[in-house]
Amino acid sequence: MIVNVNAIGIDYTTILPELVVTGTAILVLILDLFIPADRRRILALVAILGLLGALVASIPLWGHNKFAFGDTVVGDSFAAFFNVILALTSILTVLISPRFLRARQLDYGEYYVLILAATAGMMLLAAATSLMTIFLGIELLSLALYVLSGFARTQLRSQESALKYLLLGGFATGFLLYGMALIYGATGATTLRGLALVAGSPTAGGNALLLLGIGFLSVGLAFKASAAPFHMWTPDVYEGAPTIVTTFMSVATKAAAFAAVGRVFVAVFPALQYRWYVPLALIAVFSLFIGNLVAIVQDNLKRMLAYSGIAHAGFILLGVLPGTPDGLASTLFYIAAYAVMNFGAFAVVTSVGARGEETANINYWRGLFYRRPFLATTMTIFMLSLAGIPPTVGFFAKLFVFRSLVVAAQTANSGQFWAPLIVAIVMTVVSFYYYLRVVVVMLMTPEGEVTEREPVGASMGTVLAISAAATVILGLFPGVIFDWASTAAGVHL
Amino acid sequence: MLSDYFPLLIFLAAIFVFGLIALFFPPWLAGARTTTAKALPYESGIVPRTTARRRFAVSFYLTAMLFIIFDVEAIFIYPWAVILKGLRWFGIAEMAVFVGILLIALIYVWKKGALEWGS
Amino acid sequence: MSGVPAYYFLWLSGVIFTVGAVGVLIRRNPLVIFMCIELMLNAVNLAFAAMGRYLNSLDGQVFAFLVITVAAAEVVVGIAIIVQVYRAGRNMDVDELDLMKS
Repeated sequence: MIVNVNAIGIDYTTILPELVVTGTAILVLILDLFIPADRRRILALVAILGLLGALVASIPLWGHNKFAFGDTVVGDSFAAFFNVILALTSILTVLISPRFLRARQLDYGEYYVLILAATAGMMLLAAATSLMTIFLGIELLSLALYVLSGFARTQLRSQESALKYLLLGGFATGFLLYGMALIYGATGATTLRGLALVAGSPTAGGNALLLLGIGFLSVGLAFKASAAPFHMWTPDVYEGAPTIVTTFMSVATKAAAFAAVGRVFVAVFPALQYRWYVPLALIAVFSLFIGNLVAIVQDNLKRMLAYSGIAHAGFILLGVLPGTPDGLASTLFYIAAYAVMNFGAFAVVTSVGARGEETANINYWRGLFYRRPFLATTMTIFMLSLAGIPPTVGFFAKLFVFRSLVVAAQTANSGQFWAPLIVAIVMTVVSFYYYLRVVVVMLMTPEGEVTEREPVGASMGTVLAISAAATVILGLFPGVIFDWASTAAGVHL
Repeated sequence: MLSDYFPLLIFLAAIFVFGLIALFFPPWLAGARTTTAKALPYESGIVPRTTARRRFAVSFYLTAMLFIIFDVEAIFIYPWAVILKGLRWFGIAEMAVFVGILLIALIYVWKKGALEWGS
Repeated sequence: MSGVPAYYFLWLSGVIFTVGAVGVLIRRNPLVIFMCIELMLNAVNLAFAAMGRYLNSLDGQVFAFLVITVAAAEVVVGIAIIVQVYRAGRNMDVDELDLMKS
């Protein structure tokens, strides 16, 4: 019997970005064996070239809707949108890595391999249209990040964060998979296309097995996106992992996880919106409450940003709640904005703490304006943006999400969208306190002598300048990105 | 339907009863005398010198980990082998890529010295 | 075997999954917690295989294959991290790993 291979729909162009990144990872792994230790910069260069290649390979996907490999992956604008965000995040991370790694004596080639592997997993997750590929993407990114969190091999703190991430991550994977098994059992389908067919039928809302499966699946995804009440790992892992890893992880993982959330809930189960609305809204409201309220009392900036990340997960989730492409567009815009500003904020923490972990404590940041004006200025921009103060991109991100909820409330003519909206607005005001506190602390006169004047470094300076400029420029012209987000949000199955 | 399982039930009951007899009948018949020799992990075997609960060399874990990963990845070859004839050269090429990646991993492990015992 | 209904397997996998999940929550040794996670994953495999048989589709078995291999990779990464924690701090109780407190 000859198997008709072409019937499966083999089309390598749809997963070309993932293939390029994976290939680069393998190439870097081999190169690392043969390159002397003092020339490891070459590895960073190769990694950046590979990621740029993936970036270029993503552009042809824009505007298409090419399903391939038995409907398990798709090359569409949605995937391309996320590929660009993920590739850019990885490029910026790799740019500022060599200096940080050398200062910490962590300069191993495996670091770049793992970053690339995680990126490949995230890209796969953004393009995944089957439960199998979603699972593969999540595991690929998770396994790489477990190791990266424990990359500081001699530091117990880093090891501890890796262990916590691993155990809680494995726990969440169990729930995710059990959810997938139940969904498969209820529908007989593993591709999102097949699922959407079943979920569109009028009886789907009463299928207990399917609903239970969706619930378990949401728990697993919410864990990866670090949304409350599944956020327990976030502060510890963010604090313990090497700061450069936290920078990458906080931005890229959240983007990838929400790619899967968006595709699953808005494209596959829009007909069941009346079923998943309340649980998802509760997760959003929980994230907003816990993230913002606990962030207030944090004195460690990495922990503060971790809780702020939980809060932002809540904001991002708000756009998914209406279950419409318009709402998803605001979510995508928020993810892009969050990527820029949160990456910048963590990069500043990385730069300030390049010599030791204690610098993450807020006391160290006293009078930073007088010691390191460039870092303090960029940090101020990122803090204002995270708080959502115009004219930064963070303001429009919140505005678009809020607007999508108002529009949804008016079109659906139901009051259910008002409650999360009110919580979000109140919590935005609360968040001003802890973001602006950082700015105020940096403005205070330093105690004692100005001790050290360490140069920022060319690569870090460039990256920070780019992030800060993007935060402001996107805030002045939000329309461009929002148009892209609207196109990308029109996901079809 | 249920009667199909009746032999199984008898079997299970027999196992249970035999277990109880084996557990309680001999001590009742012979009486229980505990001696140091009897409490050893291997009665009439090699006399243990130290406690068995001690840490193993990391080399054991390393070897075990490498074994698991290469061993389990091989399960993909089984379904592939079943339909290889139908897949023709496409199947060969795909598996070559898969095995090639595993080979790179092996070279990496080898070069890093993870296969050297206890170095 | 054909006489055993599919939902028996589902109940069994549900029970194993619960045992694993409860074990993760109440056990303190990272290795044991890790074994409980494996228990959860194997419950998933059982569910996939049973559903695949019940639905007469191969997808369930393919999924189980993926889960097995990925779980193996997770075991390797997990044991590496656990060994490393032990070597860095000689500590095998998750409650005592509390350098970071909120």
